[in-house]
Amino acid sequence: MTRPGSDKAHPEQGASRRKFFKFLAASPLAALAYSAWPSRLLEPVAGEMLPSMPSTEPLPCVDCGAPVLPLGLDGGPLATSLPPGLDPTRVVLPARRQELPPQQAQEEQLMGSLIESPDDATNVWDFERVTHENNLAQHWDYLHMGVDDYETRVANREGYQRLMVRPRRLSTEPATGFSTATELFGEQFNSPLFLCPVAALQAYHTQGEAGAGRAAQRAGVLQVQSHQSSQTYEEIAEARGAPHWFQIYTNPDWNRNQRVINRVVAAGCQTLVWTIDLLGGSNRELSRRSLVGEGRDSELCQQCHQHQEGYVRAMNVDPGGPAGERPPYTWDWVNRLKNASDMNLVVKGIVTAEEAELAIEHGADGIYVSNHGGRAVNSLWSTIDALPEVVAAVRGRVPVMIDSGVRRGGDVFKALALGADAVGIGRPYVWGLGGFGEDGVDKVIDVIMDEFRMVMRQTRTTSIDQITSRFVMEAKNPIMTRRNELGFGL
Amino acid sequence: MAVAHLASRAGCARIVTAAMVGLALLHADRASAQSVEFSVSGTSTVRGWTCTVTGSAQVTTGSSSDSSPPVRGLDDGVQTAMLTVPVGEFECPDDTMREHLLDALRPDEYPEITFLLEGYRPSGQGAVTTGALTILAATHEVSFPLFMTPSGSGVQIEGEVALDMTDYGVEPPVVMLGLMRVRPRIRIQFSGVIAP
Repeated sequence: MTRPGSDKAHPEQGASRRKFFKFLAASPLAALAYSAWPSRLLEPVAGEMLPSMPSTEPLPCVDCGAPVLPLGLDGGPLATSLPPGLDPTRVVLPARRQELPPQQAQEEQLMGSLIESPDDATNVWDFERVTHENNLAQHWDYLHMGVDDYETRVANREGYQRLMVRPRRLSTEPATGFSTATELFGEQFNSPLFLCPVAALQAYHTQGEAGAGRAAQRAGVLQVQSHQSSQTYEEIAEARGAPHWFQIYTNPDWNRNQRVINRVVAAGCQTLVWTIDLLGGSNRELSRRSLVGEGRDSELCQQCHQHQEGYVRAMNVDPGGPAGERPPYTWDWVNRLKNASDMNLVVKGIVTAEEAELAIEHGADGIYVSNHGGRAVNSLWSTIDALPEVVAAVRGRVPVMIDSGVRRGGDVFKALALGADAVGIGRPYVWGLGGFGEDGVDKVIDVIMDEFRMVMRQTRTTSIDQITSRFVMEAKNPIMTRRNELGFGL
Repeated sequence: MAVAHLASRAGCARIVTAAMVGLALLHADRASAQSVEFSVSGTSTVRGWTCTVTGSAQVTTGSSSDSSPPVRGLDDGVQTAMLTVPVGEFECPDDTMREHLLDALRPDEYPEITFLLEGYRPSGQGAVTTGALTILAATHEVSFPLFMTPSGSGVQIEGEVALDMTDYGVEPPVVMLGLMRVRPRIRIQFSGVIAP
């Protein structure tokens, strides 16, 4: 009587088992999980790897010089005999696990990797690691921070990770053409992606906003310059070879606002973005901790910052100094800003239906759904969650833009599906800039657009207007696999 | 392709390369020298940086042969090519940075950085090139893909090579009593149009 479970008992079952182990041995996906496998599975799978080994010659031990036998000749169940002339007493037997594939790829996939060239990037988080490595801690902290305990930053990611994509496998008619082109205020762009206003980009790379602008221009995407930029509107527009949008922080002294507006209008700006999501202040604890240390008092920081006597940011030179206190503004200011020039006016920071309605009522030409990348109110409310009610209130009267938490082309698709007309990235392109200058920004845009086009193909959509809410549905809980150690990967 | 460790002294290397180019010119079908835009980028413990300079490319085409096979945009192949960077003309985002760069590159002693083509293999959108890169007193062989695109009557060339500046004896600048340290890894990119 044969033992149950042995190959002799059921020859076909044994062959089938070996076939299965062979499959596992050859599978790169299975290899990623080797370290977690029980030994009763590892041994037969390792056995199936043996025939493909090129040689049974012993290799020198790195540390001791003694010959090391490849796996399977180490006296285990698969060993046949030692190569002739080899002294068994001097043979180092390798631990089986040392022969298993390394886990580096999986680690890098979850944490990002320190790439040496933009072309090496797999996704935007690879740039995050490089910029973290190569920038002053205080600069990194400024970019990285959220408010309070980062919950709104996390919420921004979870919002996208809770939205599921409903794909289409086949189309009813052969697809003709494929385009990601879109239009905002009559201006054509190659993509609904845009670069958000982010302050002081020369803190991350000497090319600053001009470098980011050249990359945006090459890709045919919109760039919105921050009022707190390192470089002037004129410098950036000259570098791009075309005007771009300008984001303004208003000052209670209207004359200052008017001077800024006149200046950007004279340089060709056609759209003004008024940020209203920071008017209540923000609890930026990481920045406060960061500045308490050596940074604030160092000569290095004083070369660039406002605590250096006479320093003002580039766009505050002519208007007469940095923005002042931010008192409670009223909706009349929307009218006032709208009437201050012929520029289109977009109001940034709207997250509710009622304020979307009020903004349009007071003259806004566009609505920009934003929580300032989780750096303003710790609302714990993601912008993608706020988007549907804003879109419903807007009813197509004006374009709706969105930012905060966008990291993937799939996120761009989801935001468009819920009614956005344009989708902004902030930190990702600054990571690209910080790592590799404008080449890094080029690559970040490429990566996200490649991902976006793939989702379009997976849903059989061939133009932006075909991307509708029928392609997404909401899950109960977010699916977050990326590790967020030290906040990386958000 | 021979590995070129031409000389440990830059002056000697430049004499050798100039002589080779000169000899090649005597036998070349056509020769040209055009301006090429170079950018050098790197990182530091504070932020990324890029400095730029306009250099030149001297290219001689020749009759197609095993050693100078046809390559995209140049049917006769390339007999010799040399890229030259005038070190003293680097431009950086601010004067302090430029000063530190020039302190490291010592243009008074070594006014040029040169790349002398030693060989190439047509590949994809251009060629994989190998040649001798000389910075300060050090010459090392480097290899990189060169993208070539026919453009009007010429050929647009674009290339990029990454290197460790300490391999060439360049000391990464350290400023502010060590508060800011430039990292040794840099990328050199160049683009221009050569017109045979």
